[in-house]
Amino acid sequence: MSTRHILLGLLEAGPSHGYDLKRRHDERFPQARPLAYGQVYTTLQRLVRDGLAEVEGTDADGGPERTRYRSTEAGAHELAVWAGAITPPAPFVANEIFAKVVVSILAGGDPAAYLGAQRAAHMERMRELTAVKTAPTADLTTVLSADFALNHLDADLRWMNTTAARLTTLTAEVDSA
Amino acid sequence: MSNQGGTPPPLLAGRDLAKAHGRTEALRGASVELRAGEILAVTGTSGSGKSTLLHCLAGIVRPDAGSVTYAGERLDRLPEKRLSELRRTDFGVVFQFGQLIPELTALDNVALPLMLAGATRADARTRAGEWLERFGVRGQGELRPGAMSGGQAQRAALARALVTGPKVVFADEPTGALDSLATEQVMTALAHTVREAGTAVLLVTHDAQVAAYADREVRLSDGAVLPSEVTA
Amino acid sequence: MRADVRLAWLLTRGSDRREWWRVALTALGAGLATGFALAAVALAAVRGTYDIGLAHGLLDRPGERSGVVFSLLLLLIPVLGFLGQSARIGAVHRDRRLAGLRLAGATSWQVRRIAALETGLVCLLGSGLATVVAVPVLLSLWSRPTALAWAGIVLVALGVPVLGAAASALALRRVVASPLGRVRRTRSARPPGRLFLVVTGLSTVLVLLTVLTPDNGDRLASSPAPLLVFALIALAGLAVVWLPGWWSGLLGRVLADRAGRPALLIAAERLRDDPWAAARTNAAVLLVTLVGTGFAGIRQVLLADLHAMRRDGSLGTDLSFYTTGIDLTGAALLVALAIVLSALAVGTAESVAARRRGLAAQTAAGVPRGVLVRALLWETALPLAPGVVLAGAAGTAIGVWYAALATRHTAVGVPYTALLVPVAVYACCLLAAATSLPLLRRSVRPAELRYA
Repeated sequence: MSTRHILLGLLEAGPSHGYDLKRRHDERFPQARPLAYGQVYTTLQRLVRDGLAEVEGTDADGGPERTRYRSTEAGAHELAVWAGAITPPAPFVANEIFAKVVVSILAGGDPAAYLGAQRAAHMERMRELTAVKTAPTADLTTVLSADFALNHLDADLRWMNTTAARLTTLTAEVDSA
Repeated sequence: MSNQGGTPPPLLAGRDLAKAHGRTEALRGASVELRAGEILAVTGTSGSGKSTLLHCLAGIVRPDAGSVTYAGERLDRLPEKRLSELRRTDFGVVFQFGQLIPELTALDNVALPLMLAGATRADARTRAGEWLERFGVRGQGELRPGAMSGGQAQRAALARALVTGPKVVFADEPTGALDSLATEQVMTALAHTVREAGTAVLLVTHDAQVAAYADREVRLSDGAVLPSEVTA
Repeated sequence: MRADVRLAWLLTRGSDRREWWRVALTALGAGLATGFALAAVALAAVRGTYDIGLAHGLLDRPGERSGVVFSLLLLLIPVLGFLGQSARIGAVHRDRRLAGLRLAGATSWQVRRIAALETGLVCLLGSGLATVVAVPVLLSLWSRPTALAWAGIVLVALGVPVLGAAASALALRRVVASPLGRVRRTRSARPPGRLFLVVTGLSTVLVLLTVLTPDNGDRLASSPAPLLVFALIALAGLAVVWLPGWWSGLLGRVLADRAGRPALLIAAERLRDDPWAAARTNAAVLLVTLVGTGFAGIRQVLLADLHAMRRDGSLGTDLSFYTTGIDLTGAALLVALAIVLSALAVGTAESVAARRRGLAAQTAAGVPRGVLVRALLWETALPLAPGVVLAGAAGTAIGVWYAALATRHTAVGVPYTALLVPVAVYACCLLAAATSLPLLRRSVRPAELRYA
């Protein structure tokens, strides 16, 4: 996830303060990990350093002084290139759940119990997300972001089901290697 | 969910249910409880006995062994006539397909249970129209099921299942033949309506995303309920 | 060809029980058709006066013989209706299977050939059995049949299977043309086409011309003019084909909007949806009603007349000669009625079997069995009612007309016994439909729900 590009994108909509950007980010990407204000600040400084954004001015209407940033032409270009570029489809297959299953077999643990518990945790999370998206107040952004997570959890779950059904074979294979 | 402390007796309970179809044992001692107003998902691989469990609990088939108790009454001992009446008044059913009569319009299909309960046709159609409205298919009321899309037909089927104000809705793979968008529409409509009305739902599905609409999940394997894994 | 036969056999063997019903009933129908046709051919081949030791000499003279031959040929009409109804059993499955074959790369001619072989062989079985029974019977009555008779027998025995094969190949034209559509859809019967309208128009013109032609001479002598009778029969036949279908559609539309009871609503919507579903069977029922009522009237008058003549001593021949003729005709009509009722029962059973999943779902949803039973009976009773009344009225009119002509010796007014015929036929139809109720009971077992 590229925070710089997301902030650049938000700046494209118009000049903003750091705090404003954080608020808009959290609004646009509900269910995502909220941005820390410090992270916004450092990212903005790097964007300015690389010439992708510039300081437009400062506002201080009554409160503390706030710097207003805006995107540059180079920033707009960078953003367009990033937005059009393909995200590498799963370049590395590294999955914590799979790793835990294998390690559990190696260490003589109970991978079946782990998979069961993980499955239950996944279902619980899916129920939460479903409740979020079916709430009468949910807007389309919320529904779509929840759907994205739900589909991924569902994929994990299906993988866990097939793995659980083939644990015996997997154990034999891991133990013999 | 917040069901701790002073748990009321379950609305519907099946205990140690066994049922064989010929030589295949579909259920081997499955026990399950459904509380008033909750949505319970029954999941499991195909052939794990999900549908048979639903049929036993809904009084559609009689279990070979075990008991089914609904509101204090032993369903497995009731005569067929009374069961049929119960299914008409207290239960609603939604299947993958087949519960709408193909020759009847959607509106008449939804009106049918009311007419069976003694309502006049005009009255039944008015109320059926309101239910179609709630499920967003009022405009398709004069269409026959064959002329509707799969999602619209299933929403009409939901309206038919809920029109009599049942205590329990039995849904067997209600979205089995639908794409994901139609599935979402049908399930959202179902979840909203039953939560509003306080209807309990027994939802049989193999789809985890559909099961996620439920409050709770019971997993079947080889005709028996798997022990629930407790997280946190 | 060998490969086709093999494939046809494999496909038939793998089919479900309902398709075996189709095979059995088709063979039965083919057997009946062959039997009646063989009898007709053998009788037609007899020349001049010949002493046949059957039916009190009724078959001895050419005049009466041609009447019997004509009746036997008329019996083919209900048999054809029965065959048409039998062909529908499991037809959806067969069509799907053949469409699947087409999708798997079979050419249209291969599919036609396979279907034709299937039906042809079944019909051959039926006609073969009928011939095996008929020939010894014939030889016991007629020591040395003419070459013409033998030729006719061979022609019938082989013609029935060939016609069956041709009909089934023809019926497949839509499966062959659009296999994809056929895989999914179930068929609904279609109203009679343009040819039907042309024939109706011509018959009407014919009847009008005959009626309007100045009639000189004695009515009894000049009529029944063969042309007029033929045209009237054709017209009646067409009317009975058209009336039930048209009425079903009308009744369905009217009732579907007004029905206040669930059973009536379901029946009405089913009639509206497919008004021509039972049109062929209903046509046969109406024909039997018409002829049966007419016959009952004529019989009453004729018997009264004959008895009076015998008392006068003006009766030339033995009374039993006439009564045998009358009884034989009655028996033929009863046979026709039995065939028609079987066709009706088969049609109802097929309609229940085809819908068994939906019926099981309705039961599971708590629709009382009684409602489904009543809907099924309404569906049979409603479309037949006006036709039976009309056919009964027309038949009674024939009886009255005959009574008016033949009251030389007695004064029989209206032959009221004829009025019993339509009532009895209607009741029998309801009973025939009711024979599928046990099947309905079995179909609505929720176990049917398991096959998703």
